[in-house]
Amino acid sequence: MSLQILVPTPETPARRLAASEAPGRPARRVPGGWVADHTALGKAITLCPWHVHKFDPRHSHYELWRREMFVRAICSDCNVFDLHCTMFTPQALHDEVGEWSRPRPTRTRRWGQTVTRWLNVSAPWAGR
Amino acid sequence: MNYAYDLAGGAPVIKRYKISATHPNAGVYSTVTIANGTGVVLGLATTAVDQIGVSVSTGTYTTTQAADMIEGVVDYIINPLAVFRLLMSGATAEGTALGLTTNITANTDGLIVTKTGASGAGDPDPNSPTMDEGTIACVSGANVGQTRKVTSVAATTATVIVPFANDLAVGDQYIIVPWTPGDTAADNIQTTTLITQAEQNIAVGTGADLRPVELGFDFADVTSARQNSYVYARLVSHIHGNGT
Repeated sequence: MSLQILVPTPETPARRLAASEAPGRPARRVPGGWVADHTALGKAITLCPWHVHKFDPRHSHYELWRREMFVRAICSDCNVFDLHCTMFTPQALHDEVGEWSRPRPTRTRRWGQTVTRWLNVSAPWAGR
Repeated sequence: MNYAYDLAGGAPVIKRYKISATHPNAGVYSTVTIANGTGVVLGLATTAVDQIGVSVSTGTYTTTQAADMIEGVVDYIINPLAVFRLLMSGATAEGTALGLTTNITANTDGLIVTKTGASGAGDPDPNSPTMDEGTIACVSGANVGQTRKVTSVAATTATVIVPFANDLAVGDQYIIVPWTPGDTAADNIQTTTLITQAEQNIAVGTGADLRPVELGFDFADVTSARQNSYVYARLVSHIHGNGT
């Protein structure tokens, strides 16, 4: 009988954090349902240039995160890490995490609706 | 707190982490998972070690088994050099107008601001909590728009070394905050109850490891300055940074 020597891996804050990272979309989940679930939960949606056009932020009450043009993240659709993802955040979180140089879009009055449409348009560079 | 920019100029990196308690608000910082913990920990107003970033979503934590249960996760901006923008609040409650100091004694050398009221009454005492090494901003009067570093305080006075450009008149109004970017003493930020804003009414150096990078006062008028001024800060006990 062979002898097994257990060498414990040192527990460091960095390793604990890495272990806390949430997995991406499971293999058996279709992307549409996965994104829909996360929009229902109010999570940030990050989409790579290949899939950003598939998401309608206005329909989901989301808005384009305009603070930076791109973020580095795992695409919510294809599950691939991309340096040029576009992020969308819930409209309800505009004051907390949204573009602070632009006011929260109002749904009242004529110009308010115009601003709402303007803020919710998808990424213009995605060719939409 | 909102993402403002990155000191290195890079794009924000977004990662999603499991949480160990419900995160009811977005725009708050969290710290790393504790040993045998279930996920990242919501930050505290006063202390922060091993920060991971600032959230851009909310999450509900549950330990109840159910076929349709949803694991609690939250998205974070994890850049160690990211700078975040915190609204200054005059108290622990979010959105409180900043405390105002009205000068009651004219000063012809532009160095000493004397608050209205005796010690413990009227305007906030500059030395309790101490604002020594903080920043004083003139929001009304001949010096409006000017800021100076506070170099000494007493029960009713705040003194600067670099004078305000004009004489200090009776009735001039000031806001004193406990932060000075680049200063080693006035270098922590205590957040409000929900971890979303920066509390003004604390002693210099008190609070969590958020290092002020710049101050942004709205000098349009006194009301704007009290309700729409921001401190920009970086997480300095960031797990991906080089420590404190």
